Amino acid sequence: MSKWLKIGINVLIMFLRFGIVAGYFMLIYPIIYLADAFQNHTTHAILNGSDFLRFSNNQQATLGAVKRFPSWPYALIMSVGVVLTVWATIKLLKALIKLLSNIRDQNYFSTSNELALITIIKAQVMMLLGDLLFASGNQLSQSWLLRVNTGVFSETWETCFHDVFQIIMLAAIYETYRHAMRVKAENDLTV
Amino acid sequence: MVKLTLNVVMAERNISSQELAKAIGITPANLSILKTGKAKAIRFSTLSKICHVLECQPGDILKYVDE
Repeated sequence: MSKWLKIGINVLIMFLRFGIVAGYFMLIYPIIYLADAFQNHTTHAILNGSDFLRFSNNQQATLGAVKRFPSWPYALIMSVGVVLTVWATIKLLKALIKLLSNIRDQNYFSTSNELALITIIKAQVMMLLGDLLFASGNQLSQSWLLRVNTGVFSETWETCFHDVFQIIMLAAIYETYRHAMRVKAENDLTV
Repeated sequence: MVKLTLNVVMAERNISSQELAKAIGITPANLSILKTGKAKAIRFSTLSKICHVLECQPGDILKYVDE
């Protein structure tokens, strides 16, 4: 393996570690959502937040819709979504670090790589669940208050479809790797 | 299934694993894989070398046994 490739992998691992730290900081979002709901600020935050855009200037949410907006369900849906997504992201980044470390150490065929791939698939499934919750929450703000979330957790139903596609791709990669492991084991036992 | 009877031929020729491994140019670990029946396959080149060193035929070290 070339020296530059090793340096590149090390830099990438360093950035991924920063990503894990940033992931832990993201856990502050559920507290914000719940605090807004507790103070009855959820609708205010959506209607006046810079992350939420109007459909058009001609359309406004009715006063009744603003009053009846399900703040607590919205806060709970978004909070659980954040926790699931952050947990999945941290798991995914740790597995990716494991995979990259093994590549750097030229340890291409090992059970730890297989386990890391399984972890990545599980994390992706958790992300799908998180994105389903975000899509539900964002659908609420869109339907009741006519505001489209364009901020951090702006996932839509389309994102969920992409997640499913990614799970299928990762499962295919995992299956191919498992087959490669079997071929390697057979090759190792050929004298 | 096909079984290797390398042990028997080695005992008949009075040759140790270390000596055979050195003579045919494989590691003692790989020879051990052959002797213990853990091997999934054997290369023609390895088989040729074994037959050459032990002065035997492939049939002497490979036996088919009904499972």
